Amino acid sequence: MNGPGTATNQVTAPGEGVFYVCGECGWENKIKPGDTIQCRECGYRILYKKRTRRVVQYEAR
Amino acid sequence: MGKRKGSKGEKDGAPPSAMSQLDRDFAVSGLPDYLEAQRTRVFCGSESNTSAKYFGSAHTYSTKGFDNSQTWKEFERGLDIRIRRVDEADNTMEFDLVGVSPSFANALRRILISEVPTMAIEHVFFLNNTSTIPDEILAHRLGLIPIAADPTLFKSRSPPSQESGNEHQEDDRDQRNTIVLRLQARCSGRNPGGKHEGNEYGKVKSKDLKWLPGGSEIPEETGVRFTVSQDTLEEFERAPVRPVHDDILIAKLSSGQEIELEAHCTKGTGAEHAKWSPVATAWYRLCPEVVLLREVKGEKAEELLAKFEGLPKGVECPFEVVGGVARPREGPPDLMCLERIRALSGEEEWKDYVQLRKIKDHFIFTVESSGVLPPQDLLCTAIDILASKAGGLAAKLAEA
Repeated sequence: MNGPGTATNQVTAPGEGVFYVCGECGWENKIKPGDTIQCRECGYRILYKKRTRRVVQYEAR
Repeated sequence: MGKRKGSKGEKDGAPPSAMSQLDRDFAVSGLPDYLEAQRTRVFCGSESNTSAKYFGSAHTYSTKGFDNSQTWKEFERGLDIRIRRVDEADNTMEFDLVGVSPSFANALRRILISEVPTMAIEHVFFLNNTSTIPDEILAHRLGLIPIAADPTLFKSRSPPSQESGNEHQEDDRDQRNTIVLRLQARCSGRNPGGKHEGNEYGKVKSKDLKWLPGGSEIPEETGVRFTVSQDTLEEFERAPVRPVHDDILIAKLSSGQEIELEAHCTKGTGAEHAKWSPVATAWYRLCPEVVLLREVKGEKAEELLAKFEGLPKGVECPFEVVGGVARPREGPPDLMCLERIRALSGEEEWKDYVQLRKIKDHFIFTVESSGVLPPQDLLCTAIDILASKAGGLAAKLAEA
């Protein structure tokens, strides 16, 4: 694991962009700084950040 | 139970034909028959039961000169456990427990439910969960899944001692007290949100929980470090750890959703949380007994049988007619016709003939295992626990 809060499987160097999930079609968009916030698949403008792979512990009760 | 004291039974001289059914049933002890009947039987009336109280005190009948106490020898002689039925497929067992007080039977029941240890998921470490079910709900659902693992192979995790902090507590989690399971599921159906062809919702079932005998794959986060892989143990080779049922639905995923987690099982008892309870439930009932107070013969006997027509398949009529005379069948009547007998015993025409009773010290016990351990093993463990408790009490009394 990298530090807490990093998406290990999707991690990219600074400036290379981060993956966002389209709120309409679920497509994963790689958005770089300066890119328009818009899904490349369907043009929807609401994108969501993905859940990090930071480990969270719960008691099974 | 119950000793004759002093004089012989008053009925000794009476001719046998003059005895009523009640006399014949209860002439054994030194108590007057009606008291002996009350002591050992519950009488089921059509509206309510009578004499349902249990007379456990040694002095209950002291005014009659009857000693109601029970010695160890008498208990030993009177105690009887007979297995009626073991259903492997259902994980169910039924047995007779004879010659004990209700408190004894209840102690056994309570131990079965809350003091026999098992293994269950206790900590869940989420790496990812993008499903619609929140982490805490998912963790709770996982905890309730019965895990087939022999609890005798594991130690309970010792409670954290006073001086050692949280860190020390995590250090002692290893292959002796933890089972690590991993769940990884992803639904890769296409076109999320659109029309689905067929079922593209991924069903995550309990069979997707995979045992990791080598221990946690993320020891940094979980603090569980195995020194030896668990599958080197011969017992685990014979019976690998797995969920009891393969088809328990844990979550449903839509396309693109994903669950990835590690679940850690620990040893515990039902007293702490019901997920550790090894039984679906365990219960008992008093053994029913049906009697004919007067002779029923000829046409009346046929009439009696006719009252029990149309019973479900496989259920026997509680009465049989031999040589024109009706008599109750051997053994307790089937559960399915008990209420019919009770109703009959309240009818004007039959109330002087038919009586339904329950034997106060005869329990029909049912143990329904969750499948983690066979019910026979559960009973043995429960009896061991009860014995060790009694041993502890004996030691305390010896000290005092």
